Amino acid sequence: MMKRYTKKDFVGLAYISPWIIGFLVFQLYPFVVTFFYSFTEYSILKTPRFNGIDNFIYMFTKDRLFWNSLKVTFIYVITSVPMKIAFALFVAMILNMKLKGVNFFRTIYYLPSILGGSVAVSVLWRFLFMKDGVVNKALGALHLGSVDWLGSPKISIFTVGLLSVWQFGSSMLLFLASLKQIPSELYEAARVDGASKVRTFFSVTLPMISPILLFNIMMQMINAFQEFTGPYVITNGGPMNSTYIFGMHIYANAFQYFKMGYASSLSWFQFIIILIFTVILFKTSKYWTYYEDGGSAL
Amino acid sequence: MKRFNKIFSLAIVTALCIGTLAGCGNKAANGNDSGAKDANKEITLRFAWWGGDARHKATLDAINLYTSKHPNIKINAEYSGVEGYYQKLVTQLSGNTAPDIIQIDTTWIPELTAQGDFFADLTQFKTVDTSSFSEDFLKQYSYVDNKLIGLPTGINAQAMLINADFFNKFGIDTKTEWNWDNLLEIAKSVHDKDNKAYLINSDATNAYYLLKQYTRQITGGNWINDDYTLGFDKETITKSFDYLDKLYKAGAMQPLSETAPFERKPDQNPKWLNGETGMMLNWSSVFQANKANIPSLTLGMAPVAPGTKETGIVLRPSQLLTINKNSKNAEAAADFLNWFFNDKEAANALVDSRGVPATESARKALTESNKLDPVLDEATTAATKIMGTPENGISQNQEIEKISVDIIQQLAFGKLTPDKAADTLIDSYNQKLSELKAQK
Repeated sequence: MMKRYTKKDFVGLAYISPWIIGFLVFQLYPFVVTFFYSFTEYSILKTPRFNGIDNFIYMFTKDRLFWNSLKVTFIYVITSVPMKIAFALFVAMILNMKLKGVNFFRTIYYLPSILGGSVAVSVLWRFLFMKDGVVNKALGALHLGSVDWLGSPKISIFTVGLLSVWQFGSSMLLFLASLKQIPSELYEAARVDGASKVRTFFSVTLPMISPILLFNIMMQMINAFQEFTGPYVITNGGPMNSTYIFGMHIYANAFQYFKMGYASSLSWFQFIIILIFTVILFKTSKYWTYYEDGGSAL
Repeated sequence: MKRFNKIFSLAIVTALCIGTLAGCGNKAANGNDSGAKDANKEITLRFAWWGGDARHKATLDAINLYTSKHPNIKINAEYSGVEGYYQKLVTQLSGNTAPDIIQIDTTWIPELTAQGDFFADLTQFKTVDTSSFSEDFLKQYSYVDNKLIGLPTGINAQAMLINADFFNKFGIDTKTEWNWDNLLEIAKSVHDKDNKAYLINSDATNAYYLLKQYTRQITGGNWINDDYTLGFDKETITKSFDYLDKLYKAGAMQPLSETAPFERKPDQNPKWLNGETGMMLNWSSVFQANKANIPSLTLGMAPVAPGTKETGIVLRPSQLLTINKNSKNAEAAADFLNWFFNDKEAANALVDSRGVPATESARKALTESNKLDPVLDEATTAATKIMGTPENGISQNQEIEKISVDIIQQLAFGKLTPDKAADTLIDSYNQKLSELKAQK
């Protein structure tokens, strides 16, 4: 028997159609075609030519920048994600206190997240952290000497990572929401038991927000693996490829050398890496997340 | 749960607002796409170019001038900066949505024409009069397989942009004829006098062009030959790296650790804008854009080794204007191009926004109205006298450039000696060239 759809069903569909169309055109379609392109040699202007797993063999054995960009990406993820999460939590805890005008600050602290992904802010970052930039001038005024924020191959990737830390807003809001959820009885009980502030944080706060912590780490990790704008605009991958992140490698192959087939292979490799790390994170989460209702993340 | 919902919905509303804002932005940018097409015989042409503010303004003025005389023609200007222009164009060509009139760079021609037939042969339009162009110039750059795929907008000469204030401060003559020896010597004396000043403003990419030029002046041939073999031997390239190394060590060029944030955009380096670096190897076509920031800017010639048979100095079209092969209004586009290149009023509206015009008639019109910048005119004429052979396609390959820039960075950071740099370059080039050859 075929199910009959009512008019109401279609109205519902119509309402979510922008999202569905967007998803089909900009996510599902590219997802499927890049899979096929990843087994071809395809310069966007010619028809693709099937070449089996040549792209992947080339990736692992011959591409001189592949391993380096992978290394840079891991450094970026490992450093920027914890910094961002810690900072977001820190700000959320401050904003969770009963302060005067706290709503105003909540709005203000979200602003960087609105601006952060834009090219203009990346340009600003360049001028803040360049050799004679604002940050070094401030350090100079404090007699601390200047740091080669963007010019040193050892430091540049961290400086670029700072830009993402600065966009802590959405993680912060989620933390704030979950902090509000913690019943005050728990804190009272902890106080009665004589727990210190630090002890309370680790034994009450952290377990109670652990599901949101998991969610934030996951989202930020996925975003960090896909980072592109910051390194591209601020340092263009340099100096000495120290910020030549995986996303830039995909971009260069796709839009500078027009090797769309190979760029698709790289994208699929990136997808698999992200998938693996997401699964690992999920699997370990049952050891460190706590659900009041006894449920699990999945 | 109530509290959570409140804050959560706040987050979502904020996200939606951003989305709406972004949507509005796009709409505004594409707003001029929607033209009334049903009016009697109205033709709408799309014209895409890249450039700076001066070029945008001049071109828009010219378009208005043309459409005021041809009321049935509407020209939609699709202009932007150079960043992302090529990527967008290739995507449009691939999706068959490219504009009718397209500004392209000559360096893209080998790549584009190897992959398909995208541009109309301009000789098929009777309306286009090419008699005012230099025939050699057209032959070198505009013809592909005997088809005239585009017309040069201007003459673009490789030249040194010179900050005259800087030169006066250090007592250097702006008319100095540069060779590699006096370049190093004077640059060293500048940095010795003031350790914050550097004679040459350069990123690693510019250093690569310098390295290429230095090498070609020794070998007298191409950087990479048409058969994908190297145009130099180990000894020569070691010598070139050695020279570059000396430039860095003498403080002739700002250390790469300082220029790193401005890689591929040396004209945005604050040291250059503040007059703490004196000159930059670049193109005459960017002269006006840079002069807007540095009022005392003038032009000089790139260094030439005495007695060389190949200066390697490139004189090429600033860009080409092409007509999309699939354009439905190619005839109308051709008429516009003819006006753009040959009409006196057009010349006076466009002035030197694309370098010194490539047509004799436009140059004459500008000389009459006294609008041609004498510095630009003089430098272009001077470059004509010492110009070298045009670079072949493979020498301009992007992947080859990336390899070279990487190695130059390692050299400048002291990770490679000139000798090691030469070895690495030769090895990496040979591997990449064999890959590229296999893909041909």
